[in-house]
Amino acid sequence: MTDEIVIKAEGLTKKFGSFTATDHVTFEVRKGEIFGFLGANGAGKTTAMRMLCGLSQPSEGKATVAGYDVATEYEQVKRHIGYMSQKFSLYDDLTVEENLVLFGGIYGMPRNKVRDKIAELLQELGFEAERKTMVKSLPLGWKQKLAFSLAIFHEPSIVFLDEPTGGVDPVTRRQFWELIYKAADNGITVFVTTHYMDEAEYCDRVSIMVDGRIDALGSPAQLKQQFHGNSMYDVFYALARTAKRGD
Amino acid sequence: MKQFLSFVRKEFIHILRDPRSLLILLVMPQIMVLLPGYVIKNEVKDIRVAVLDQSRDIYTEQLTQRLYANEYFIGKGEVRTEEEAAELFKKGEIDLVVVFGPEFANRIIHSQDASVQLLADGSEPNQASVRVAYAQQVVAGFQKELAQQMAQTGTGQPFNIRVNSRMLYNPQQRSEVNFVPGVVGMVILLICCMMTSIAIVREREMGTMEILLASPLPSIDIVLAKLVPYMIISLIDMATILCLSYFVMNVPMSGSLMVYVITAVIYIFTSLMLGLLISTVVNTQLAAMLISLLLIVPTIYLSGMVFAVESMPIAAQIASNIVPAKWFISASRKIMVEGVSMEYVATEIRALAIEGLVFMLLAWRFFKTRLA
Repeated sequence: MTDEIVIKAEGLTKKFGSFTATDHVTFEVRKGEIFGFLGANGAGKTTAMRMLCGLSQPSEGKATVAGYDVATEYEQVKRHIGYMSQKFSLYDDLTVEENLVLFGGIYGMPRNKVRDKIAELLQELGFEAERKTMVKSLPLGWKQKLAFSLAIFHEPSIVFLDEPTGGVDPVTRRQFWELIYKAADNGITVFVTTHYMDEAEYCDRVSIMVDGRIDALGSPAQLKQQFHGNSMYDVFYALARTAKRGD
Repeated sequence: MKQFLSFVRKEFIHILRDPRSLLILLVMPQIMVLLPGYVIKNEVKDIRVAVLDQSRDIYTEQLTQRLYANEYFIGKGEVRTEEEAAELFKKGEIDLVVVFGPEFANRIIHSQDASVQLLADGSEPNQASVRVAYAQQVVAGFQKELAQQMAQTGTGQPFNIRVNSRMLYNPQQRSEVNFVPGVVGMVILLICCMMTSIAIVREREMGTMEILLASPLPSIDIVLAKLVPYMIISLIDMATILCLSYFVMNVPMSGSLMVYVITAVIYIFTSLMLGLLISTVVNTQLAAMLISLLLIVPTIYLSGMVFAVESMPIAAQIASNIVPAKWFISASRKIMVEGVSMEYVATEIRALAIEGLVFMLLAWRFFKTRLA
C-alpha cells in the first residue's frame, strides 16, 4: 500500500429534490487499500458509490477517481475502474467464456489478451470445466466469483464492489474475500460497500455512513478503540442507533 | 371454507392493487365494445364522385346533378379522360368515377341503350361494391322517373340505361390484396415495438444495464445494439411475407419494390422508436409487453387494416392519424395495388418520419434520467 491517493471525495453531495441522499462526504482512499464503505440500508452508500463510478452527477462537491473528475470526466473514470453490482449481474444465457469475451471487448482489450486471460482465470478459479457452461447453471457462489473476476478482468486500478456478498453463506463469503485479498495484493484498490460488519474487519480502513454523512472513518482497530467496542458490530451499533433514516 | 374465502380475498387484493390488471380487466372490455359499436360503421358515405361526360347533353347534366345532390355523394367535378381519373384515384382524391357514354340523350330518345360505366377503386373491395351499388341506385331512380315522365307526355318509348362497373386495381376484388399490407404493418409493429421494448427493459430488469453503464460503452451504443437486430429481423420477416404473398397468393406488387422498401424502413424506424419510448417508461418486461399488446387494439381498429377509416366518425378518423400503422398500410396499399410512385405516398412517409422523430425525442428525454 503506497501513499498515492486514487479516490478523493470532497464534500460530495447528492440531493434528490429536498432529500439529501449523500451529505457532504469527504474521504480519501490510497492505492492498494481495501476500503470498506459501511452503513445501514438507506444510509446512502450506493448513491455515493454511483457518483464515484460516474453513474450519477454530484449535486455539490467534487470527487476524483484515478485522477479523473467524476462530474466532468466520467467517461475516463469508467475506463479505469471495474464494477460489480449487487445482483452480481452476468448474462445468464451466455456461457462463462462468452461473458468474459464480451466484457473484454467492451473494455477494449485486444483479442489475444482476452484469450490468454480467460485461460489464466479459468485455471485459477478451477473453472476450466465450466468454460462453455451457461451462467444460469452455475451455483450462486461460483457466479459471485465469476462476477468479481469479470469486474477486474480488464485489470483496472480500482474496483468498486456494491454489496458483493449479499445472500451468500459465510463460508462462501470468506472464500470470496480471499479473492479480494489477492486482487489487493496485485495492486488493485478495492472499494467495497457492505452491511456485514464482520467483513469490515477484513478491510484496511472503513468509513461508516449514517443518514448520508460519514460519521466514522479509520481502520477497524482505531474505530473499535474510538467507540469502545469489541467488534465492528459494536461500533456500528453505537453509530446506527442515532440514525434517523432506516430500512 | 373460511380458509378458502380468505385466500380468495387475498387474490382480489392483488388484482385491485395492480393498476395494470385493472386496466385490462375493467377498461379494456369497455373499449372493445365501444370501438366496434361507435367507430366501426359499415355504412358507406361521403363518396367522392367525379364525372367523365362523353355526351354533355341535357340528360347527362340532369343525372350528374342528381348524383351530386344525393346525400351519399360528394361531387368532385369533371374529368376529361380516363387517365385523369386514374390520376385522381392514385392521389386518393376520389372514390368513384361515373362515365357517361357518347350520345347519351340521343340514344335514350331513340330507344337504344345508353351506357353508364362506373369506375371504382377496387383496392378496398367492400367499400367499392357498396359505392357502385349506390350509384346504380341513383341511375335506376333517374331511369324510372324519366320513363314515367315520358309515359305522361306520351313521348315515351322504352329505353335502357346500361350500367356496368369496373374495378380499377384489384379487379377480382380479392380480399388478400387488402389484407397483406395490414399483416405486414402488424408484424413490424409487434417485432419492432414490442420485442425491442422488452429487450431493453430486460437488460434493466436483469441488472446488467448497470454494469454496461459503468463500462466505457457509450449509452447510445447500448441502445443501437438493441435496435439493430430487430430492424434486420423485421426486414427479413417482411421479405418472407412479401414473397409468400407474391408467389403463393398472387398478391400484386404493382409499384416499385424500392419505394415499398423505403416506406417500410421508415415505418420500421418509427416502430423502433416507439418501442424505445415504451422501454423508458416501464420497469418490467411484463409491463412492456402489456403496453405493446394494448397498442395492438387501436392498430387493428383504427389503422384501416380491417375497417375503413373513411366510414368512421370524425373523432376516430383524427385518432387514426396517430396510429403509425395507418400511414404504412395506406402507403403500402397504394404501392402494391395501385402501383403509385413515390410522390403519391409522400404524405404517408412524412407522417411516419415525423412520428418517429417525436418518439425518438421523447425517448431521449426520458432515457438518460431513467438509466441513471
